[in-house]
Parts: sequence; C-alpha cells; structure tokens
Amino acid sequence: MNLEHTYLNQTLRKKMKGKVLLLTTLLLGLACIGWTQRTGGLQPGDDAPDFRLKNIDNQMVSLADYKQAKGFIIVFTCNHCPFAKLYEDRIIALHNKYASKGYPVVAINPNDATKQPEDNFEMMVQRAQEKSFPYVYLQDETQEVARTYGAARTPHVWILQKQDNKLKVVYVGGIDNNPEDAANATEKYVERAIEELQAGRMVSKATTKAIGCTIKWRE
Amino acid sequence: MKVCQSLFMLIFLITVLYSLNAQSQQVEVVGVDKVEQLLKNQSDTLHIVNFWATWCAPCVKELPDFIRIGEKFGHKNVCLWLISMDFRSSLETKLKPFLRSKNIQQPVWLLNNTDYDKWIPLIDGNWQGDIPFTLIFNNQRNQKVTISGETDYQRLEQLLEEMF
Repeated sequence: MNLEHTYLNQTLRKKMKGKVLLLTTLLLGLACIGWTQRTGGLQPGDDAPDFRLKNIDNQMVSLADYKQAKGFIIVFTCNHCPFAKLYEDRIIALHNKYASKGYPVVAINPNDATKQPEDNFEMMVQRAQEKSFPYVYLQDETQEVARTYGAARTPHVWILQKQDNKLKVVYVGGIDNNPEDAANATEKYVERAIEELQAGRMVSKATTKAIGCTIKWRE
Repeated sequence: MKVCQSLFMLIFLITVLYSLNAQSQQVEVVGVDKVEQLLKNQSDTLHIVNFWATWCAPCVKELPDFIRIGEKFGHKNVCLWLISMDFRSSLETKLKPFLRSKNIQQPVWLLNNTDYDKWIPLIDGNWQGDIPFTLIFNNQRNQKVTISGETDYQRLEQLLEEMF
C-alpha cells in the first residue's frame, strides 16, 4: 500500500512538473511575443516569414515565388504619403539596379483604404501604371504583414537575405539621408547594405531611423 | 475729401493689422542642438513638444487640439512647442502660408536637419521616425510621456491632468 502510494505520488509529481514546465514555456513564449512587439517587430538577425499578398495585377505573390533571388528589398510604402512619393523614383532605381543582382524590390502598401482612400487597390493600380513600377506592388489588406514586420511608417525598408533556405533580416530602416534631394544624400543606407552583401560582408549599419507617414491602422 | 481720408485710414489700418499678423507667425529655423537644449530644460515647466509637418494629414488634424490644450493649461507652467519637419525650402511656400491660413499664432520651429538617423535617437530611443510624435515632460519632476501617432484633445487633457 505504502509503496503504491509513494509510486502514485511520484507519477503525480512528475505530471505536475510537466505541467509547470509547459506553463513556464508558454509564459516565456508569450513574454517573447510581447517583447518583439515592444521592440518594433523584426530586427536584424531575425528570420523573416513569407507572406502571400495580392499584386496590382490581381495575382497572389509570395517571396517563395522568387526562386533565383538572393534576398529582397521589402519596402512598406503607399500612394498618398508625400515622403513615400519623394522616394518613388529612388525605389524604382533600387529595383532596376539590384533586381538583376538578386535583390528585387517588393513594395507593400499597408494602409487601411477606408482611412486613406488614396491608398485603395484601384489607386494602387493607377499609381503603378503612371510610374511604370518595375516591381510588384502588393496590398497588405489585413495589415498582418506590416504588424509582423513591425512597420511603423511609409517608407520603411527591410532587407532580407537568403541564408540556408531561410530569409534573414539584415537591415531595417530608411533609404538614404536626404528625402528632399536624392543627389545630395550623403548616406545611401539601402545601396550600401546591398553592396556589402554582394561583397560577402556583414551590413555595417543594420538599422537606421527616418521620418515618414504613420501607417494608417484599421480601428 | 472726407471719403478719401477715411479710405486712406482704412487701407493704412488694414496694412498695419496685416503686417502685425504676419509678424506674429514668426517661424524660427533651428538646428538639432536647440531641440536638445529644450529637452534638457530643468525648470518646473511641463513642456509639450509636438513634431509635425504641413504634409502630414494626422498632424494637421491634431494641431488645433494642441493649441487648445496649450491655451487651457497656459496658466499652469505649460509650454507648447510646435516643431515642424517641413523642409527649409518650403518655409515660405508651404509652412508660412499654412500657419497664416490656419491663423496659428504660436511660435513654430522649423527643424532644419534631414539627417534623421543622426538625431531621431537623441530625441527619444523608441521613436521610429513616424509623425506625429509628441513628447510631454517636466524634467524637474522626472515626468515623461511620449505619444507615437495621433492623439486628440480629450486624451491630452486627461494626460495633463494626471501629470499635475
């Protein structure tokens, strides 16, 4: 009886231990999620998740579709924001320069169209036609991608690099240090980062901050 | 003659009033050092520092709320600072006409530095660069609140009342 009792107690304890462990793991996991949200989404070194969003040609696009890519220049941008407009030609130039070298631009409009009608899908199509965007221009209708990546403004850039079949974040931030006049930018953050990746080096300046329009979140 | 005289007086008055009005909309072009100095201010004053721009729709929308708050708490050592992110080149073409059209009398700083990565971290470590962005602080009382994104009169009023 006594032995049996001890045995039962032990299994119970083991079960309890398992539960405590499970609970701790869960809590830690939750804390981690909270932490990522607080620190603003995906940071350099993080794995970047793929997504599936509608392009202006009505086709669904995923990063996995780009078999040849070495990485991506993900730009959260939009139609209406004056700062995003100032950078349109530079985003086109980035794609034209680096897509053939393995780093295409993937532009994503994260804004809620009910809050900012100029950023609705039809206007996206129109803007892409006017400017002959050479890259995909995707609508993040649920805003899930913007939330996961931690996009705060437009334009806001994430450079991803394929490493062992995973996509690693290698840069987060702005495009250069002169929104008003590209010719007078003394630091071209995205260009330098890609050049460094091409040369097999680490990105020396992995995060930068820049001014932009707040993302129009759905309420 | 009398009609002529009164017409002259009227024109004179309008000109004087207009120039007074134009003068009250002075914009000071400042560097980052000036903002840093302000952030270090040790007086027992609650400073409300709002970063905005004429091209930023949510900023423009909330500006009147900041002005009303500044007026309501003006007697309580509250100081409102409107810091514009407009480019130096649009001072005369956009910023000043905007202030005139909205009849904004408060002094405005134009922060003339687009090397954002250099100075945004000096203002607040959590600020990603999206505007509007607002800092409310009283260094002497160790009070500091940041508002990332839009706010409104009610939220500001509640916040300030909690801080007094």
